[in-house]
Amino acid sequence: MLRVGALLVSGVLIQALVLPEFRVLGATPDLVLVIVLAIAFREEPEFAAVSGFVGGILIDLFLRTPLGVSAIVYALASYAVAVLHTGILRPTRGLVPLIGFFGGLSVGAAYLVLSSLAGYEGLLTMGTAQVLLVASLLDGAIALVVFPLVGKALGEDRTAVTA
Amino acid sequence: MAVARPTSRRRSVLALLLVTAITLITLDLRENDTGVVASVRNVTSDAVAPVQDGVGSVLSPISDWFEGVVKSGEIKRENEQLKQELAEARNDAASGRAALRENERLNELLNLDFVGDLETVSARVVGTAVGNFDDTVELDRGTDHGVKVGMPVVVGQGLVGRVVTASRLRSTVMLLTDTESGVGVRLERSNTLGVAKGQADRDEMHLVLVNPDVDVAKGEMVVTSGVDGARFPGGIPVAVVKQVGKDPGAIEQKIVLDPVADMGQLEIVNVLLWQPAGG
Repeated sequence: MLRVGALLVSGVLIQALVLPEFRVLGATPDLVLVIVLAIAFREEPEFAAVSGFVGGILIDLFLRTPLGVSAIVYALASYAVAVLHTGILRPTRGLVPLIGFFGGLSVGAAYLVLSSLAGYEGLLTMGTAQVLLVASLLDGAIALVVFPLVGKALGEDRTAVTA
Repeated sequence: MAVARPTSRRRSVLALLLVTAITLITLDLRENDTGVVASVRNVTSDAVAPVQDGVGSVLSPISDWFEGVVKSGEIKRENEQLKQELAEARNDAASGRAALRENERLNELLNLDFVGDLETVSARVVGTAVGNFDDTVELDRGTDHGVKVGMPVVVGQGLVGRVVTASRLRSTVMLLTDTESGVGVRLERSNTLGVAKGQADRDEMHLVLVNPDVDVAKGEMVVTSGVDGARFPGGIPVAVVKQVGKDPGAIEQKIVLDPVADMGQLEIVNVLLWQPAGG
């Protein structure tokens, strides 16, 4: 639990202070999301959902949209990944970037829709779609590094990723 | 004794989290700038401010290099343009006009003519938006320095945006190009009013709610309207008209604006110590 908390806080600090300085075509990867997905890849669905919720709340503190929007979408995504990996998917290395990419894409899309429903204008445009696509590709790329690091940090081998 | 099945327990946990999140969203949307959620955000912002200062100074050269790599094409074009300008400047210098022109340009930067008698606070941009869909910058000045929510932020060329959150040491500025931003403006030539809306394309705005019969010219200056109850004082340069057209079947003209301030190169800005009436 403590390790997960430390991972999330470190991820949020890097996301808030470092990554905005390194944008590619206006987009940055969503490190906190990739961390919670990596946690979900190794934990039970309840724990994954709570981790996603906490990670989402922490990152929401730095965003302009209402507190709780990221928390909802991160919690749902983490829960879905945990349910899928415990019941359906066999964790392989090739799956990791795909989880990062599709996780980023679906979470980003859900975030935009929820924020628009909450009254934030102009988010459902081609411009944001382009930024979302680039950000999701970056999520997929960093997942290759983040997933093994999270595995090492959690110090367990319950569902080790196989080649 | 009944034992909850794992699946139903999972769903209960998820449902509890969703209800909590929806409660928080509702609370955040209903409360004002001094509510609990805003206070938590402000405390967080102040807590990370010293770390941000340290990280910023370390990362600055690296992020500059990274930007150079990512935007190499753009930089090459800019380099060509600068070379051309340099050649022209050399010609000017030969005839003694360069010094005069440089002097005028520096005066423009220092002189915020459009501000009038309003007091200002200078601030340094110390960060950009954390998320991918916000267009904001963070300033190293907050309520301790007189900055309040709603205050306009300008640079030498004109309007940049307005303060949307202010903690003791930091404030966040929503740029004009943010999709949530809307500025009441006036076309200088025709005196027609409209609203300049930010676009997700980041570096441009659209002028909406303009009388469709008005003749709008490319290159025309757009300034804040300053009408009663406006968010900004009147007469501050906002943008120039970049493109005018009309989509087939549309009633309104499609007017694209180019902000006068370069939002990608903000370093030092001025916060006007002015708040809208009732704000």
